[in-house]
Amino acid sequence: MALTGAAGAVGVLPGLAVETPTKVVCLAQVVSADELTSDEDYDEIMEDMREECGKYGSLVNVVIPRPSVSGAAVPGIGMVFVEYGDVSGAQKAKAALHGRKFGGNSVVARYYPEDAYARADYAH
Amino acid sequence: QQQPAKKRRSRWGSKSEQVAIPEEIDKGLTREQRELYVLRVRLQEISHKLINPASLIPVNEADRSPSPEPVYNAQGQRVNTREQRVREKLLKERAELLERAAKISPAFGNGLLKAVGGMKFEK
Repeated sequence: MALTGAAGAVGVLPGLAVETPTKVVCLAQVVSADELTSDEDYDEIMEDMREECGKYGSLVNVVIPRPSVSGAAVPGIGMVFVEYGDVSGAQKAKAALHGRKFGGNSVVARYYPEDAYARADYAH
Repeated sequence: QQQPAKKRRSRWGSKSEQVAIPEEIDKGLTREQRELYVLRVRLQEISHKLINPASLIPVNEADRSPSPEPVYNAQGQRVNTREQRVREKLLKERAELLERAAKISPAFGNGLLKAVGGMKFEK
């Protein structure tokens, strides 16, 4: 198997680890902290996410962490967590959205552990 | 002629613009490696965009954001044209990403810093 791309570059052998699909897809680096401070932008981003992500399965929830008013670091800023009713929705969404552009940024999609998501732990 | 509430353009790009990103992101990376990977994807993209910031300005005027009041320097040249604002926004984001990368891994962050021309950022 070819060791190219991200994992190869950072010196990890990805060969044996197996990807386990979950019901939650994490879209990374889609929005900037700046955009999330504006209520208008936040609402628009949420609407765009619901509209697009709803095409791939039954959408249960969309979580977009926002910067805290106090300026304290909040985990998961810039990411969007999309929860589906079943794994197949998440699989379709991940395949369709990985590498898609959002506001000019390339979306990096991955499955997010359901237990961490359930505890509202966005730092996994 | 009044249009019935113009539909806002979604931020999603078309399927034809979808880029290939390796899937290894899912397999066996630590949280930090994953974060650095995502930072690197974004930094590459910003470098690419900085080659020609003017190309990022929507062709259709209706899709452009409202402009601020013009600002001129001592020579009477405007310093906040749309192109300059696009460029500055990218540079600001790049500085933030580099700072984050350096926080996660000083070695990796400094490597990236060198790659973009030894830019210094001070706060």
